[in-house]
Amino acid sequence: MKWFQIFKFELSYRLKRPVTYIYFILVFAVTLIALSSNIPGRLGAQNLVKYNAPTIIAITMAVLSILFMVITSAIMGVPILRDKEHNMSSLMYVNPMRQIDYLGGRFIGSFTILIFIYSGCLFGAIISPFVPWAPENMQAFNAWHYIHPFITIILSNLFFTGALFFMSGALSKKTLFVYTQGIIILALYEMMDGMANNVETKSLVSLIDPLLLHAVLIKTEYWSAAEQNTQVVAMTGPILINRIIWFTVGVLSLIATYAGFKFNTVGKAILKKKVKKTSSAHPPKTVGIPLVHQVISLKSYVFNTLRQMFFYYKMVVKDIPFIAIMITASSILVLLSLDMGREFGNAHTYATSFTVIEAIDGFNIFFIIILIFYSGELIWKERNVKANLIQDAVPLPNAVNLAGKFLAMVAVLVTLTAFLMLSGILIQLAHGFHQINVALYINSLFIDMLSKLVLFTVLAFFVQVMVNHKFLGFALMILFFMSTLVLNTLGIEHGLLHYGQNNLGIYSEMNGFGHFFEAFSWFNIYWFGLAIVLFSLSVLFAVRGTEVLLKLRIKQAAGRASRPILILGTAGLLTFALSGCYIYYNTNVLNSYATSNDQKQLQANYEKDLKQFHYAQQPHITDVNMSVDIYPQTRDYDAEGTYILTNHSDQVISELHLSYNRDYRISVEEVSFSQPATLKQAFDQYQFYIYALESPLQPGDTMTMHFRSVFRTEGFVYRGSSTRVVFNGTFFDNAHFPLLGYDVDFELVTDNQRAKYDLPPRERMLDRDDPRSQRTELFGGNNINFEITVSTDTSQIALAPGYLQKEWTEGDRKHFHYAMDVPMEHQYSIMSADYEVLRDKVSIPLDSGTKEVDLEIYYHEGHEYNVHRMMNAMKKSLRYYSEQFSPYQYRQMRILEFPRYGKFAQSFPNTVPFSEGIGFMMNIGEDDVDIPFFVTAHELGHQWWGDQVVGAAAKGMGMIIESLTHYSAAMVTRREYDEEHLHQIMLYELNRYLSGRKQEAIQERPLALVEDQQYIHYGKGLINMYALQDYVSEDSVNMALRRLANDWSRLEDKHPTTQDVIQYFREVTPDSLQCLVTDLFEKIILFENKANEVTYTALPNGSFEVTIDLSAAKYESDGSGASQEIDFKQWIDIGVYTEGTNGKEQLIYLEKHPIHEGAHTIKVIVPEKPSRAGIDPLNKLIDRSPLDNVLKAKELVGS
Amino acid sequence: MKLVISDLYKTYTNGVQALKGINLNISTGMFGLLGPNGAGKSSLMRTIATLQEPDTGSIHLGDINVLKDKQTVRSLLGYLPQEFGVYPKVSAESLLNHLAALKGVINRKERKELVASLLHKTNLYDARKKNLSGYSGGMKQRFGIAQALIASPKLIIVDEPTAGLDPAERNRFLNLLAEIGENTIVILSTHIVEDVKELCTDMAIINQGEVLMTKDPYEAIAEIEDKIWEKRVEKNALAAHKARYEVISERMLGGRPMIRVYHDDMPSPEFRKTHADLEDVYFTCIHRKQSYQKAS
Repeated sequence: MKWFQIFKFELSYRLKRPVTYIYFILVFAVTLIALSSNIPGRLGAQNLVKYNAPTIIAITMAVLSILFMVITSAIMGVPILRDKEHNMSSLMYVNPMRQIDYLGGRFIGSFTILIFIYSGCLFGAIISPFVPWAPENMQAFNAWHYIHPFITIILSNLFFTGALFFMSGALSKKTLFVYTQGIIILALYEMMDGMANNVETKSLVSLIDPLLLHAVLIKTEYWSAAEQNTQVVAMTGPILINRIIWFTVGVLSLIATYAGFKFNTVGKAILKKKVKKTSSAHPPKTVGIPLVHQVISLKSYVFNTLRQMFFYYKMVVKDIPFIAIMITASSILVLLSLDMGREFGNAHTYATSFTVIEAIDGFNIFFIIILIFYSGELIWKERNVKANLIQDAVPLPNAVNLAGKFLAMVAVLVTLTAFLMLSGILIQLAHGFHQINVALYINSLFIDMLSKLVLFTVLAFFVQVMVNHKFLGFALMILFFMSTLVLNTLGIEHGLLHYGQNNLGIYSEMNGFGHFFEAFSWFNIYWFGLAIVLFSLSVLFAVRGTEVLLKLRIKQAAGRASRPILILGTAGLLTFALSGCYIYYNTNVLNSYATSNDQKQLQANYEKDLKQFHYAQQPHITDVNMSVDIYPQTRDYDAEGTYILTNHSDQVISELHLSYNRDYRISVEEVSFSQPATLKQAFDQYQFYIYALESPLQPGDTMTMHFRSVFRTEGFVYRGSSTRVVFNGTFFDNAHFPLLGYDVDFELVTDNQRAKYDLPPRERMLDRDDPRSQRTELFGGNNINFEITVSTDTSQIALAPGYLQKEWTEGDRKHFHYAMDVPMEHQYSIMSADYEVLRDKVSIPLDSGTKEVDLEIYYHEGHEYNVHRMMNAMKKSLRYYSEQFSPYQYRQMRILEFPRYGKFAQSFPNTVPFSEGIGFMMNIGEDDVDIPFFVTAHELGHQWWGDQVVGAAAKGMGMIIESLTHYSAAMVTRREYDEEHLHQIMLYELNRYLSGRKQEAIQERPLALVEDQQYIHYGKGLINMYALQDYVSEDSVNMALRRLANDWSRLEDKHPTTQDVIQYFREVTPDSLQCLVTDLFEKIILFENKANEVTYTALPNGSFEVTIDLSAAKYESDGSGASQEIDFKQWIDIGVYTEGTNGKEQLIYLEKHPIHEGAHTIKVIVPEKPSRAGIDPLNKLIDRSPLDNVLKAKELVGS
Repeated sequence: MKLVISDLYKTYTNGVQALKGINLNISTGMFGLLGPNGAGKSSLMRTIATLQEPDTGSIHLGDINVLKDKQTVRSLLGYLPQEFGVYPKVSAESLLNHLAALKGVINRKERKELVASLLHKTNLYDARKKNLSGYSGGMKQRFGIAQALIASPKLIIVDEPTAGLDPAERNRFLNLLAEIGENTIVILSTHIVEDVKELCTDMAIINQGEVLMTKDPYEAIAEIEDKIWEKRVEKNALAAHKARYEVISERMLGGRPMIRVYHDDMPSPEFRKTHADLEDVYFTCIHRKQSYQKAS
């Protein structure tokens, strides 16, 4: 049993090496921290999905096995190499030993050690739920949930990667090959990343993804929360085949190692240069040694610092691992750039500089790896090659040595950053976008990113010097990067406590980096102050000579504390302390600082103290007259307003519940009423005030309320800096001003959080027949008469709902007076920016005559790409909605651009603020979905659903507001384009629904009972409304909606619920389809329709017969996601595609066929050669796996 | 300039006492530090070269306090450590150039001339473009001395430079050392007596962290002249001789031990008087110290 000797030797060798244990501890610690921090949240554990759900553990383990591949390569790549490097090879190889024993013993030994190291992952994971800082969102412990993925994912990955590394190390006998191979595997993995996002290649990924992460993600993509919490990711189907493939690769590489390995060529690498022998036979020449000037002064120090910098810089950039990392990084960059800026399915934004920068931003992970690794390498360089004693004896101060190395590292980082910038520019040019914003690159990359990297480098140097152990230093740096997560979990969130964590923030073409620079610069000064201190300490404590004990180094440090170092250190310390004080003054004194826990506590207390007032009867605000002066440069405003309050109820109201905005920047300075009232109770912490009216307000009575409030920006904050009032692109709404009643939206939402603060599960939305739902003021439930005067700087235009009455300039202020001549919903936006304006008109023929509507788009200069699409959408939408539903209630419509701090568009009366981040910057190709068109159509739809018709504040409200609007937009878009064009939007929304229900916090609801669940009222809403019109016809659905608008428009205190809406639908639906309406709106129904095989034969008459083998299944699910298959009979689309003439596929056959559960074979005859065919090709039904409905058609030959 | 070492003590954390009260006065010229492996030579050399801290004691180079004013010492120092490595993929010429710059030779032209002359001097000029990692042991040691000679140091420390060299290389190396100017203090540590004998004007014998003797090698030999006797004995009689006489060394000659004995006059007629050499001084010294320790 010779191999056993070798095995034992390998084992005992490894077990004696501290690095084995360091790896184990590293794996253990990283896993523990990863699973007990909020990382699972980012990997999909949200709301109902627990942090220790088996799928989450599986995904985390897959990620970790990728992260730790470097350890695998270090363990498996070297056993054979080591014999060579230690000149052991001849000793090992002369022993009479069979090759199989030698290789087998080595492999099994190393692999055993590898399993030992990775068992840290299993133990770390198992312990993670029990650490004190573990998140609360956990379910009962189940060991199998940890052991299963450890075996199926980690061990299976280890085997084939280990075998591959072993092979490359044994056959090449060069570390370079091992590294390169690791890079190839990583690059392959990155390729999977790109492919997994692509519908076409997704199924291939499940089969070939080497490290299994994407295969697992794809497999669990549409699992409900219940499934994720209970089911392990079983090794079945494509994943099983995947494992068999890669296991085979592992076995093959071991066989290849055995076959290719030769004892007698041992020590000779595949590529080895011949060493030239030089003779030293010449007698020594008698030469004099010239006298030279030895300069030991500041001049020589500076000279040598620079010299060392170049020396080490060259050393790093020529190093093979560095080059390897760079090649990997570049290949990933190329892959990344192909799919950059994707929004809303397949549409992409223009390759503007900031789009590219945000896409390549993730790259600093490579830079961080490089800086951790090479900081250690440089600190240890001389000692590693044993050149330290000579170097340490030269007359240079420590500061010069350290500064040289540090500057070399900085130079490396500068090179990398420049490389990234150049890549970014090339990507832009490759995408055909020629407006290169160099200043933005410099700010984002050279100022924001680089300064962080430099700070981390100083820390890495400091850690390496102090612990004086290279691998421990690496481990500590990795721990440092992970510690941020732990600190946040522990509630330590302030930027003053997170070394180097400083972000410049979001860039907007409208507002640049806005006011972010100030806070960013101060935090940079603060951290660089500390960095100088750390650097000075590193100089004092650096190892020089043979003394390594910290005790002795402390003794030496006293002698090294020269004046310049002391001055430098003191200056750093002062900078750090003083700027820290100034930052604290700004963030915590001038502004109010709250951790997220403080914030949650406030929310919990708010509910506990004020919930009693939730349904207290309050008057309605029926008239609003505002005057707002915006000061963009100081980011302030002054506001003054008068409300008329009307008691619309049949009760006497004796108290007013005033709810002011809780943003501390806003203060209500004065409030007065037209009749005597006294402050009865003040809840300052919630900005909630109760006034008692001396003479109560009788039903139908009115009173006026006058107030003055200001918004003041003082200093700067750590984060959450207000982006509402900014230099250019101010946008805020009526929520800034006093409102009446309890704010239910401020309550904590998820049950886990609520339980933590001793709150019962959240009160559900009101039932549809609850009368209270008819009288709350939520979401502008009543109408107001509106008038406003807004002023701003002369360079800007200020806008609010209403029609412009007057515009005048007074000094350096521009004033705009807007008024609405009809009642409108109580929702208004106030905006101010430097705008370009596009104007147009649309004429809408109505029964009552033609209505002219003015159209305007206010946009940022340079953002004209899609304004014509938006203008077109405004025209088409206003016409369609007016004709199909009810006349448009205003005579003007405006779209207003605002900075991309938010990525949405929102509808206000005759006004739609539209983010710079969507629509405006999209590059819409011929086949792309016209997102600007669709979004514009959607927002205009809200002028009907949400403004004309306001749903009751009960379950299902989201369907009335969002689903109907989404449907309306889809109809306009289909008219402008075609049904296939719409398919991309349908797929996007279907995906939103399917992945949304995975993350449901409380309970999934049928569409008619939706409770502010976006994935339902947008995602499922569109699909099901579309299906409804597909089965009962567009005209019938529109007739139902016309009746709805006619009966419910502009009613005070009477709002429709989905019961009413569905009644209108049922009226236009034939009896045979009534159960479809039930399925669509009142149940949670999912299909699992699938094409199994598609073949065709050419018929003699030139047409083709297509045979489609398919299977169908229908499930009904409950609110937790548990589903049950049900029998069914339904007419479902069967579709056939053909290769179009212009390379674009065309749907040549689309007919409904009767389908029931189980397998079917359907034959259809089409006139042209089919390319693909299947069931429900346009995804009109909710299908759990929407992408397998259609298959490629194969020609059936012979028969 | 004189190097004065007083009462130097050093104990390592593992309990080894490397230096136990070293006192030395070293003047210009070649000073040999002779002692067996592990005697504390390297510890002493590193301490003088500012790379190690003594527990107590002082070192002065002229007026310079070596332990305090390390920078000044380093500017006067040429140091060849016992063992040293080099950066991979760096040629002799460019590393020498680099080290010259670090030592303060910042004038490019001067540096170039200096490097060339040092390479000539050490006979490495032809191999100057070659990577140091491909150098033989002797070439590497010559490179070591070349770098120690940069910028005309006043204090040169060479630690065990001849260990592992073949005789030809060793000769070449010693010739090189011999050429170093007379105004310089050169401390050569070695366990090879011949090195000291051939080169040094002064020397110290050191063992177990203590200086056993400091003398001009010539004088030291003169002191024991006429007191060294040799005899070829049977193997089984060796122990008896060792017990009876002060046997300072033994070696095999034709399969039988030849012993050398220190004795003031002829120990017995079978002994033959022989010329004392430095090796006898060294062995006597070491032997006496060891017997003293055994006795005490």
